[in-house]
Amino acid sequence: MNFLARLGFVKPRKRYEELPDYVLRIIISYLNRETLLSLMATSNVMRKRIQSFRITTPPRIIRHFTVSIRQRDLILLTERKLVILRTSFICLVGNPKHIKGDSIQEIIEKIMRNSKMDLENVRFLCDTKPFRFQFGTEEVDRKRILMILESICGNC
Amino acid sequence: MVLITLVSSDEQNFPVERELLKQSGTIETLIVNMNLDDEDTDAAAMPIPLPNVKGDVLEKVIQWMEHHKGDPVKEGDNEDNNAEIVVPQWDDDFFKPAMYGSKHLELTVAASYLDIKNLLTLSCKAISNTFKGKTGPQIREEWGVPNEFTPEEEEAIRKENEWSE
Repeated sequence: MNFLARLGFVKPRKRYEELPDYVLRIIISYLNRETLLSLMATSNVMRKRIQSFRITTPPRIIRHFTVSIRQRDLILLTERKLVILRTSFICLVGNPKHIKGDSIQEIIEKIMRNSKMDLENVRFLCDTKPFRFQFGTEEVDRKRILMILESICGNC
Repeated sequence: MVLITLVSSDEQNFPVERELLKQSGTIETLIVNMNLDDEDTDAAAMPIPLPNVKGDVLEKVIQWMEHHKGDPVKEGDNEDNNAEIVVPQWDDDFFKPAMYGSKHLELTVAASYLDIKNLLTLSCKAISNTFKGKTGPQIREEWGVPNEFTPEEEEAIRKENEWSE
């Protein structure tokens, strides 16, 4: 807010940061990951709001995203990991620095642990569409992911 | 032609053609609930209050609905193939003058409140287009958002996002 606005002479401009969540979600669903990261880098408010979507987003909204972002990337940023959803396939991508050399199962476990993504959520994503998962450059089919998830679950 | 009066939050009256209002899910529901379509109801005598929409914004909404009269109304959630949504030239010209100010954002919020799906989609798409291909500082500059980050914080963000570049 500028000086005159603070004194009440000029009404502060409404900014995109103040848009309600529902509207903001639609807007970011149109953005590719680079632009979404740019938008998050504009202010702490935007950063926190977009980050919060992942944590508070109920499955219905996740479905909404996955349905509405065909051929698009959507990054839902968690504290330390990125969950990228695509409609042609879903990518759960960890920071390559952290996942390099790990097995797929280790990567899944790390992503779930670090992103606080529970098994139900991952399974939901698997079930939503006949998506494939991609870890780094490796694509994995859905059946294999589900088998790995089952084994992780069995170890819980 | 049946006219229905919409009343904005600042108590301005807008008589609007009944047919146009089919584009708004919210108003359509109110019309049905208030039986305004019944032959023995005097629709003109029953204005619809819209306490969340200011007069100047409502005027823009009506202008948009008039232009899009007869367009098919979208059903359900926003489930389009977003990659294929293109903002038509008329809409682009309509949104542009107010794009970086509060008016366009208020129009978008009104579209959400009034449940005018086509307007909400195009409006959001137009906003997202202003972000495309821009860096954080460029978006801030265009939208007049003050930079609240310290150079250290900016560097930290840049580093965090480095892997995706």
